[in-house]
Amino acid sequence: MANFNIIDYVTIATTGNATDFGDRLNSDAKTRLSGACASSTRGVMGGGIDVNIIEYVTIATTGNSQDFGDLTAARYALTAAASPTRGVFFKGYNVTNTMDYITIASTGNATDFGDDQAGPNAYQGACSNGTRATMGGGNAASNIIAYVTIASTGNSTDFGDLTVGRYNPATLSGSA
Amino acid sequence: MVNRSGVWDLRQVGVNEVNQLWKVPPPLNYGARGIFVGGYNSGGVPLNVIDYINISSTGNAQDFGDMNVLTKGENGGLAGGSRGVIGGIHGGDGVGIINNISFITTSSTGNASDFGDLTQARSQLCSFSSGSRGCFAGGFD
Repeated sequence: MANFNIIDYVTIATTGNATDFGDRLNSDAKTRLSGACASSTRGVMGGGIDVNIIEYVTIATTGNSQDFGDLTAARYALTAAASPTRGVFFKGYNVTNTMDYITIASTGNATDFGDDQAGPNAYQGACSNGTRATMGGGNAASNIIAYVTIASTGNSTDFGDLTVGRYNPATLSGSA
Repeated sequence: MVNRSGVWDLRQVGVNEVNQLWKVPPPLNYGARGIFVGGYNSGGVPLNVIDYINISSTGNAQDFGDMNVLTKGENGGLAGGSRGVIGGIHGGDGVGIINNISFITTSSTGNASDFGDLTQARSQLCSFSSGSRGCFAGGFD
């Protein structure tokens, strides 16, 4: 078993194999179980095994990630979602209900967003429609979905239930 | 700008050409429909279920379709426009970590299909997209 600092990319509109993009800052266990979000130009990755590191890449170019700043607390198995300007990192192991946010276009440390009291603390999945972020699934095979309004700060609110409770779903959002 | 007959003014056509105003905007990296793919139940059994929600409303998720491979989660999802892409799949005990990348069409419901392969089989990665380009970062095997 090994940890990888690989970054791959695909062109979404075209099927085919992934291509090497560059490397993440760290080459050890810190590069797994991170959370990630993006604007249309910048991808941001935060957390990892017991680290608070936030790093970023410019998606249109290839190259290694660079330091962005720090989360408010080190954690892993967190998840993230974004509006075009703001990224939010949700929970993770080593914290209980912490949500942090960043301004994607600038660099700097994350700021406290509020508390997610609705769902489990780790292994959730998150996605957004640009204004609202939803978080679902997680520890104890949770079926809870909760949401926050990204432009504001504040605590999460109940959204509804998944059809099947589960750990660690992959999440995405696209056009309906 | 068009005239009353619906014909473009030649000068405006020139302005549009020079400023690339005809260009189709790139797909967004987010959308109205949120999708939850795979995961594992409390017994550690990988699931192929795909659910969806309408993010702007509240309510329970609905069935979207199935993954083309069982996935224990620990993977990443990203999207551009109406295409969602999933990579970094752990197939559960007996299958292990595979390099498959799958895709779905978010605007319809249905099962996932094969997209291609990651450069390295791994899970526990994270993922993000610009709308046209998607990245899978880090991971573990």
